[in-house]
Amino acid sequence: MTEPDSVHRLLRRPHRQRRHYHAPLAVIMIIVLITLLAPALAPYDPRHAVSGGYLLPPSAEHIFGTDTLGRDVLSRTLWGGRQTLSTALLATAITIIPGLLIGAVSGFTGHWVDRAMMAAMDTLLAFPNLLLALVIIALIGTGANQVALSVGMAGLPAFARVARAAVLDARHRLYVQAAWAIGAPPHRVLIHHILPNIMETLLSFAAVSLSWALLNGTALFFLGFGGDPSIPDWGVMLNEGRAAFRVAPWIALPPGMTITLTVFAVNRIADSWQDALNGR
Amino acid sequence: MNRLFITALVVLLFLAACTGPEANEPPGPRIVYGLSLMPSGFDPHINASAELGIPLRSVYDTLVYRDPITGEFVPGLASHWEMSPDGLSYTFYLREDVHFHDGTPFNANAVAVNLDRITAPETGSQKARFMLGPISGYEVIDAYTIKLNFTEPYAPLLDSLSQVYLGIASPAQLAQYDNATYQFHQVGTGPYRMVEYVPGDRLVLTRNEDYLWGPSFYVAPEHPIQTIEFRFFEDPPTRALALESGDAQIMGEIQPIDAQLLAGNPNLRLYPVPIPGQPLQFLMNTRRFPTDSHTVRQALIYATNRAAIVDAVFQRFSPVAYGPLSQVTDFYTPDVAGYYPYDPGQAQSLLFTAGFTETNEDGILVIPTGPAEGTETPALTPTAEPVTAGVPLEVTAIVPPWGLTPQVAQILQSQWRTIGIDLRIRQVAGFSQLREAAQSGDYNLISLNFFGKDPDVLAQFFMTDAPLNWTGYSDFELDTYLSEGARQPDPATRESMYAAAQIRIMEQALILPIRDYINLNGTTATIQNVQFDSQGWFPLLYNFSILTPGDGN
Amino acid sequence: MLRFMRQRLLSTLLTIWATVTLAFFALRVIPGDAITNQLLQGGATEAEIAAHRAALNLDSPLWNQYLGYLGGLLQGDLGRSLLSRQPVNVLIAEQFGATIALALSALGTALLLGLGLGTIEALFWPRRVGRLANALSIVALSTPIYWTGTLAIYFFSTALGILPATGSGDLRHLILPAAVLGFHASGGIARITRASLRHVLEAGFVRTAYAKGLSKWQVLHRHVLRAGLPPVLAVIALQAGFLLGGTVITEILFVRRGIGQLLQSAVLEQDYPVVQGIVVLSAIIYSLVNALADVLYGALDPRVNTDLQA
Repeated sequence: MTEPDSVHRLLRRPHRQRRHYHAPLAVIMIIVLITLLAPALAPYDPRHAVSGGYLLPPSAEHIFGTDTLGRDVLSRTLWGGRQTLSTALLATAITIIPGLLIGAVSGFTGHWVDRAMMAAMDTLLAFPNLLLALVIIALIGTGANQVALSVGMAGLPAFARVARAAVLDARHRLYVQAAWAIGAPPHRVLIHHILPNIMETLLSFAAVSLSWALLNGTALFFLGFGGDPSIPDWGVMLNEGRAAFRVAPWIALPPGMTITLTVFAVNRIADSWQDALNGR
Repeated sequence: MNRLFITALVVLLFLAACTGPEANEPPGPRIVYGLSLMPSGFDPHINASAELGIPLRSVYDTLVYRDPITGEFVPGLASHWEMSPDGLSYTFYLREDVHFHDGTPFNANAVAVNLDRITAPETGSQKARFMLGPISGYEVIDAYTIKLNFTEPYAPLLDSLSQVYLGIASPAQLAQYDNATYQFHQVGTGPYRMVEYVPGDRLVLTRNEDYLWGPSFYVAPEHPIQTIEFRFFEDPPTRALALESGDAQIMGEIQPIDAQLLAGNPNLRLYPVPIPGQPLQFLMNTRRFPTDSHTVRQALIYATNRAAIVDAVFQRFSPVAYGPLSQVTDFYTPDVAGYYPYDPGQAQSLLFTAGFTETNEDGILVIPTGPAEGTETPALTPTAEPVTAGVPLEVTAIVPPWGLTPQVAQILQSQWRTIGIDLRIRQVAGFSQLREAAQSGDYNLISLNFFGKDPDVLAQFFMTDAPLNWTGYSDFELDTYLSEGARQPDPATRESMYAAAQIRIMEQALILPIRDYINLNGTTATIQNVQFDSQGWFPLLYNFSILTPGDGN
Repeated sequence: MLRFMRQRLLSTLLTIWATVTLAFFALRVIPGDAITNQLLQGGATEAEIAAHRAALNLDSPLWNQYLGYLGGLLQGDLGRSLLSRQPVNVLIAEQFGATIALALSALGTALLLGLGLGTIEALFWPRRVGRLANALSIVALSTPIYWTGTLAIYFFSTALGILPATGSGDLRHLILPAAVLGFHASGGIARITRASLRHVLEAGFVRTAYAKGLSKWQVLHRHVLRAGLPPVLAVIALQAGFLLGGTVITEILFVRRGIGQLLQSAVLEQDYPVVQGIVVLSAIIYSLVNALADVLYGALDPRVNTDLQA
């Protein structure tokens, strides 16, 4: 089996429409802004544990309470976006840049190159996404960059497949055929005729990749593969909060809700783009 | 074509539905005992985990036992024993009234078969073999007398022989099954028989009604527990929950944060049991800047508020540790308690002496560019990285995920930050990554500790050529204390050797001890006479009693 | 058809060989192995460790070990666990049932929920019901499984006390993990169902059917679902892979026995033969599921079938 048939169908839709992705986009902008401004916004040092001040319920002093070690949950949540989002972005870059390259070359060249590359991708695809990420991180060790690398690698084969399908589809279109006919060099055809026309598909799937990266990345942090647990991170916080959920549910709620909100917004955007491609 | 796949699906569904029938067990009270880890193997002669001993301690008897209260060695399968004057051989006189669960009589030959199995290279013993120390062989003197010979005196022997890893298995059974399959068909002489073991799911024991040869501290209760099903509860946050919901009646390693809840529940009981051996500790790398400096190492301990750690992370369920052995270990010396009490002022002045006289813009101490007056030059060993002026006081800690060590490290980080020490934490995923990090040498602190009643455990960490000498420290004196401690049969001599070793380790500030390990066991209130053996981990199931007999019918 | 099958088989074997080879060498990038780790903790000296490794043939050249492993694999022998000494076949077989039970019951949940949400969305967009179904399916896609799992444990085990939180015993232990994993997987199914049905709803033959005076439900039943489901099935096959990945974290979270748990501990303990065995299993399942999807796709969509027979 290759890519879902729907991908082809998506691509066959010529007309595009604007969709309402303004609201989710605004949500993401706000989250990113808060994350960037964390040093100014956070009331406390996110790594400072107040001796004896652990497990304090939400109050005027600590709006989200304190965690099991006595650190301010609000400050950690605000700061937490930095590691969570940057890891997810890095992972997505690791997915889409080589993924696009492999997909484009594979779809554009065809023949044995295509077959060899896709065989390699299939080899990786044979591991379910998160399982592959788990094995990779066990091999390369813990740390934020390692999480990004393993999550990015795990998403790569799917992206390469989608990119290849898109390129293949575009290759057969009239304007590409026309470009060939007038003798345009291959790289020109690829860059000037094919890529611009599959951009939206790729963007849409890049958004999906980002949402996977967020989910799988935080999952690895949650499982304790993030290296330094003192660096605030939503996945790490969720893990700590889970251990104390009965006693102090306020620790897990903010990061849990924030991850869901962020991924939700990313998925909404991906959906809107896809709808736009679908022409509705 | 389609049919084929549908058939395959049906087969898969069928497989899924097969969860295995319950084995027939005699009626009587039945409980579920929650284990906190799923061992990869359950053969005590081969595998090494503590969890395997929780059920199997009661399946096997050992040649000797240790009284959990006095710590004295008392007769087990051996009614008495003697050591040769040179300490090179031990003769055991065995009980003649013992038989295995399968009816095989117990005798010197049975012991011999077990020793053969444990020491055979192809068995691949991961722990039991090494507990026998420098054993050279044995002689069966008569049907009920066996002599163990050693190339060197080996003082920890009796402690080793009292542990389940050297439990005596039925020779008939060992002959019938190979090293891979014996674990499913274990037969010993102990107060419980193994009924079944389903890997990853359960291990079931039932009471051995023939059992008449228990050690002095085995006391039959009025309402014994007939059947005990061991199940795995590997997720710490849900362990207390399983007790409350009745999914388990006994559970080890409850989270400290839940233990408070449990202590307040009238239907549940909490049994905190101290585990002998090493406390939770960070080994300090003496080969890497800045912990290559004795002064810096001392300062790090002074800078640590252990009481605050025990308060936040362990909910005060643990004693603060001051030395390399926990208080319930043999030959623990209380003298270590004087070393390095919490004193941030002292830490700061020590760091000043070590050359860290200035603070950078991040609030971290640095060695200034020009030599400050009245300061000691930081120790430079050939293996250390070159010390350049302006280097901030950055300390790297490698922490394993278990034992709440990451939480401890994070509090350390917060505490040390206030006096200008920058602690970088790297949490690794398991022992293999820990070992890899240690081999790279790229660390200042690394956390690992082993358990055991006998202080010989120290030799694995602090002898110069020990595989786990992760402090990188080499000291003839300390080596002598530790090797003589293992060689000298006289307890008084051993005591002085190990006392000297503990003091030496703390004088040199080779470790940052945090807390003695306390196993927080929870039970339902119906379980009584809850007792554990001298190693702390292993329950004396024979003594356990259950209220409202007939509950499990 | 035969040629197609032969190609499939060949590519399946190729995939398995490639994954095994990749796993075999990648795993050995880290020095050490399960037995060294255990022996170190048991108190062995370096010499004793070396002797043990030699006995297990772990010190022979990598190529030798690799060829030996492939030789065993050809005879269906996956080797033995370094730790428990059990044949890897047996270890996997023991755990496989539990994983399949979880994966299938989660798949069932996901199908019910996903097809339902997707159909509602397609039919009732842009009405409120349709939007709600849409939002739900995106929530399913957006919530990390460990967060849903934590909340589910809290509500159903801690607060209500009606379901056991963790473990793997009877059916009661299956409900929470299956529901959580199923919910998570339903998002993708709903999404593709919606897309596919909408596409069909706009197609000419559906309009014709309406024009013929068939009722909305008749059209849905006879035309829309018939034409719209094949792509959905393809995605379900993808979801099967997703589910297997999901079972790993679900098993860890709910401490269920199964392949996920086995893999996690084997990877962390460096029990190579076990990891390799699971890799082989994963590759086989992947290939089987994809083949199954192709065949089902063909059976439900005649166009594909003719393509294949051509």
